[in-house]
Amino acid sequence: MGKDLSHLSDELLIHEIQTGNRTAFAEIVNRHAKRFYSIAYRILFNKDEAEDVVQQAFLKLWEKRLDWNNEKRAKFTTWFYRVVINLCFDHNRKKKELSLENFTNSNGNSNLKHERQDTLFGEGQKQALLERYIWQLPERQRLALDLCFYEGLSNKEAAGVMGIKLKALQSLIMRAKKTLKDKLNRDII
Amino acid sequence: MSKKNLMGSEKFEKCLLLYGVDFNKWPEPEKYRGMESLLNSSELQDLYAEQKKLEKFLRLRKFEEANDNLEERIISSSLNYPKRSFLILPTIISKFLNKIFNLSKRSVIPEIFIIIGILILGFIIGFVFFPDLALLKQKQTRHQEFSYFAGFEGNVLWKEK
Repeated sequence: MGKDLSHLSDELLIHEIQTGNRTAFAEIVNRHAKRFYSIAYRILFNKDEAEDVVQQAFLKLWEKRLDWNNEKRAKFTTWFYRVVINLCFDHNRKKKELSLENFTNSNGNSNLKHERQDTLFGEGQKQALLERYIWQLPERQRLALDLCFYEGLSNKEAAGVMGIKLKALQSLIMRAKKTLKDKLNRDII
Repeated sequence: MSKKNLMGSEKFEKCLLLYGVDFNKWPEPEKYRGMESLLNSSELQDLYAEQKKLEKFLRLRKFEEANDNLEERIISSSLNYPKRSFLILPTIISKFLNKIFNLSKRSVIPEIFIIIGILILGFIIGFVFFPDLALLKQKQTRHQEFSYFAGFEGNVLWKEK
């Protein structure tokens, strides 16, 4: 059994990983895999694909561990969010067939059909509508919403992950929420 | 709090959109002004109720938990990758050089590989193209040793040859 490394910071764990310490790698995976899965799932909207992307990101971290420069890099989580998000966007780009049209046809409409038997605005139908509204948002607004609202990052952290200024991030969140609020008022209430 | 210090509806709505309905997530100066303003304005109370509804709606979003063995799967997959121990020596040298010469913090592993490569190439060239030189020296040393042990003076034997 390896040493207990749970008291080490992420950056120190990365330093250990650079020396080939597999226990440190296991510690960082156990510490963060679920968190990064969460954002990957929000972007890809598919459990298996999100798991694959997170696995790919961590394997890249292990494979390219010697390229990491502790002095230059930002916080590990900020940097790794970026890695995971970029992998998700690449994945989505490769998979063109998962267009908005397909999504709404296959997912949204089928849900709507099932829910019609219930009350007019049952939970399931509201959920389907929400998915559609979120998918209709521009990519950057959606990402800002995912990071701040669903992942609970502060505006500053989210701006760091997206590599934009705080004001720009705030503008994205406000526009995203305003759009959703308008649609909610228009279609549901 | 005087009316002058209360928050306008526009500012209040902006804060609601940015930080949400939980006042604990609001930054310090706005937090208390926002709470106070909410108590004193029915317009802000409507905005607050609307925002609460939006957040409730947003929380309906579907989310599937990852498999419990996700971490295990990642860790076991990493075992297929070698430790790349051959890179550890250049890394140590790189860090050592950075420390001694206070170079920029970037890794100098590529440069170290180049230096090691040049040295190896030098040895190969030396042994392939100038083998006699190495043998000559070796021969001379052996003769000197022989002379010494046999009781000859200096390099007599060598000079005769």
